[in-house]
Amino acid sequence: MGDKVVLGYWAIRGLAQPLRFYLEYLGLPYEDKRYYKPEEWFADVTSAPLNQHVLANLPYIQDGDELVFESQALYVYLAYRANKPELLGQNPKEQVALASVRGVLQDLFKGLIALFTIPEDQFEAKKEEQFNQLVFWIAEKLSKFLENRKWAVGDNLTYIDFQLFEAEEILRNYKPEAFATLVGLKNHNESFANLPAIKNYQASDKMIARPFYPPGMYRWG
Amino acid sequence: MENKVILGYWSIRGLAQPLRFFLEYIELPYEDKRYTNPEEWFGKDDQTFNSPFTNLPYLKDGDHTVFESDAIYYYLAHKVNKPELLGKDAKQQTMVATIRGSVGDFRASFFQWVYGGKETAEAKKEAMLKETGEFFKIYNTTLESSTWLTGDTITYVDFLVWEYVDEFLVLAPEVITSKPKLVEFHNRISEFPQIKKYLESPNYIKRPYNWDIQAVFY
Repeated sequence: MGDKVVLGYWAIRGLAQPLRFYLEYLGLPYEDKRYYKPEEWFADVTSAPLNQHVLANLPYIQDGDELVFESQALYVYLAYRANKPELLGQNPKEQVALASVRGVLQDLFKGLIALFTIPEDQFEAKKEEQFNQLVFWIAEKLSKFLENRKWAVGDNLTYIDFQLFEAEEILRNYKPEAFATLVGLKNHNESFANLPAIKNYQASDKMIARPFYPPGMYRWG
Repeated sequence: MENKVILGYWSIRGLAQPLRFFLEYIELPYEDKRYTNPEEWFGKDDQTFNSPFTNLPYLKDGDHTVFESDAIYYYLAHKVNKPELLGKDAKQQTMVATIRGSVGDFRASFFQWVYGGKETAEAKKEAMLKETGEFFKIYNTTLESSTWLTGDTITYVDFLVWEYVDEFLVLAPEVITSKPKLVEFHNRISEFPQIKKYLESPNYIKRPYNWDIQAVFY
């Protein structure tokens, strides 16, 4: 196993997909440990070393004896691990911008989950209105913010660009015609997809294209 | 006109209370601007900002305004030249993000109940207390091996958790009082001279935590 960090998560895109892109971009050797069934995760989380950690959850990073939990913390940990702290924001202005985008993006992800967990018998009737109420206006905010910016915090790539890309991919796949109107997001999406590490990874057989969400539990994925 | 920063938020504790404590802790003079009616904000003050992120809370510093509560901590810590409040090294910065993520999960669980409807609130309360109790257990255990939630020095996430410890001491005290490290943590922050002074001042508004119209607990 050597020097590889282990990224543990379900075998879906979910919270781990931006982290997979991130690991590829960082050039850190890693094992993409995927849990296909709840029993597999239960077995791991109830035995050592995970059972000694009160915060144990998915996703996690295991790095030798080190275990890190909470998806946002993994970006911080990996930036230092790969000796690329600039991905956390190089100065106060970038750090504040990163935190601002992160806050709005989290509302967007929450809105998407609220949309896709509308009860099955109500989804078809409510999905249009709820898309507009829960998702689209937040996506518009982000799109406007990104206009005239190369990356989320400005000229420099940071870890929040990886999370933004995943949100864009969900929108682009779910409602392509609405996504096409969000110029700021669309441009960011294309620039990010063209980063060599990202381009190579998306073309590789390691890439999980779908599902975004756990199959069967959500109205779309 | 003084050079005070302005913290704008609703006239509840909500997301701004940890920010108010943080401002008191760093001893930065500020105006605690509270919006009581939606009409004071929507269609009025919110039109004076030209950011796509315009929202409450905001922090106005002269011509510059920061939106998103988490970003405001970053702005303030750098403004007073105390970046250690964001985590002093890789290890602590990672832990700050870990605890912050956990608080996000706690909020999702707690606020689903708080704003989940008054009719079913009593019936759902026990399940909510069990779920949120797990988080408080985590924070209590964490404090058994470090002085503060992220290590041996205080960071802004300590204020995030303090607010919910404080709220639960009113809502369901046994959830907190059964966890000695949390009680001690709550007292420790309360006893900081600048915090103690704030708690005794007329600027400190103890209630409501949440909007009384919709919330089952405020």
